[in-house]
Amino acid sequence: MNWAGVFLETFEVSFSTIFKMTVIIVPLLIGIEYLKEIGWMEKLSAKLRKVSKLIELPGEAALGMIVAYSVGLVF
Amino acid sequence: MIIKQAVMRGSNNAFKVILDLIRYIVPAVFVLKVLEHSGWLVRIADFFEPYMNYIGLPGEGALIIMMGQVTLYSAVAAMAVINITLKQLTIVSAFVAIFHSFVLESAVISKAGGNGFMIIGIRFVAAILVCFILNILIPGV
Repeated sequence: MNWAGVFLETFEVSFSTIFKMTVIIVPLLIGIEYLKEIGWMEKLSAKLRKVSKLIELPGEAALGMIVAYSVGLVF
Repeated sequence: MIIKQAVMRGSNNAFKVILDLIRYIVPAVFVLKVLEHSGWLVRIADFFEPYMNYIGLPGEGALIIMMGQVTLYSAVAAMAVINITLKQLTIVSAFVAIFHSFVLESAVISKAGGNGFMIIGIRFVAAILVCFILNILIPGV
């Protein structure tokens, strides 16, 4: 087995994958922090109360849904 | 002021997430490359080929799903290593998004007071159903 090739390709593929994800993740997380800062989450969860009632969950579950959809990346 | 704070905290979070990604992606890519170079990847793919064809995936899709049982990020790494078409990528992403890291999550669900086995069973069935429907709905190869 060609170990040098394995290590080289591992480095190559991981580097390009992580670079591509960095380009997406950094603006996304900055945007989410901004939305948190202006109190957008509380506003939207108040609106989504009706939706979460629709699938027979308590209204408070809306905040959990918003958090899961937006900040789920930073666990 | 608000924007400055958001940029600082956001990039701080992003740095942590990317460190996490490196921790998961590099070992996953290494394992897959070892499998590829030793010829085991083709053997595993051949074994799963007939089952994966039901949901429109090549045999290699099984490896992505298996990697997804470690963490969601290792599935991303597997997608980067294995060459599949856009349609297959959509299907396998849907599968992994619904059904991932089942060992850890069933433990968490059981601790939280739910029925871990039932939730995992429902997720598995839902994943297969969604992939089956996506395979019919998405045009192309």
